Amino acid sequence: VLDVSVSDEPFAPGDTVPGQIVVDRDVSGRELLVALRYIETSPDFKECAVEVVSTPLAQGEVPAGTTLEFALDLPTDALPGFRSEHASLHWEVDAWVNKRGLDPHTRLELDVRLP
Amino acid sequence: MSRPLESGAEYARDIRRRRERGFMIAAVVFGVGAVLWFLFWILVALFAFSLGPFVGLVLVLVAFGGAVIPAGTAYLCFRVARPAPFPGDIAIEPEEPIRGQSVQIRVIRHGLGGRAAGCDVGLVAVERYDVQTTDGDGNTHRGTSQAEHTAQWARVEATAGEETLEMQIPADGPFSYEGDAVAYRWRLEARVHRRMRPDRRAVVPIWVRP
Repeated sequence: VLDVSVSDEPFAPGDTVPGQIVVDRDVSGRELLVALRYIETSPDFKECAVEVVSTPLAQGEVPAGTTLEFALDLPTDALPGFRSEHASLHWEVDAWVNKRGLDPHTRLELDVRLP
Repeated sequence: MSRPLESGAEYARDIRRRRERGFMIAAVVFGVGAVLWFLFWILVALFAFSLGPFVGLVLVLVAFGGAVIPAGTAYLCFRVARPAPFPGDIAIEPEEPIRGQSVQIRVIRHGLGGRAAGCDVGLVAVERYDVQTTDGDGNTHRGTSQAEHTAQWARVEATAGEETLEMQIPADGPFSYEGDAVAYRWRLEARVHRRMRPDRRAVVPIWVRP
């Protein structure tokens, strides 16, 4: 439903993450939101440690083909990503439509490094 | 994402608790077994002495010989649960290194004892991650597993003295992190290897910044 892309990777703590969301087909919901999240992933679990949520990018009906720009700031003390054999830590962009029932999400992993 | 100040201490307590639980129970079981074995055969031996000194003597040997193995096992379990302390001190400078940074490790060794076969000092990183486990009844539980991620060791003299080593925190290694599903923990560790006896260990949790 949503196609998310960002530019200017890799990012550093405190950077603004600019990106855009292209709506593939008509969506109808209360609002369309985007967030940056720091995700812990183990073989069986996924936890969000930090979350930065945007104000609604759109509300109500959003026709297919609509392009929405967003810019969210990474925290100045953001940790970088790290991957090991059994676990990982990473930042991701999550765009979703807040609607009745299951919200359709589209996630994109971000490359965040320390300067 | 805030740093729990007691993360390292909590880790050390975690290790101690797990050791104490399993191995202390084993130590008590083997210890009580050794005592019961000894008392039983000594009582039998006392009775047997009235029949003849040779039979009595054999049974006294059975009492001692049979008690040695469970008593030794009880001691080993106790020592795993409560390791003999490292005879000295270890410290790291800086205390909160950054990945890729060189660190100075100071090792102070008091008398290590004639049985010391060597002393290793190392930096160890462990990854801890939550997993779903299923018990025999089919109930699922959330548990935590761990695996060693990085370890670098250096051998130092097994004699009393003071030494300073230089090591480097790997730039591509993990940074210290305490989360809900994932944790990366670093420790400075010293081990004195002793022949036929459990190692003497010192563990100092350290916080590695990204």
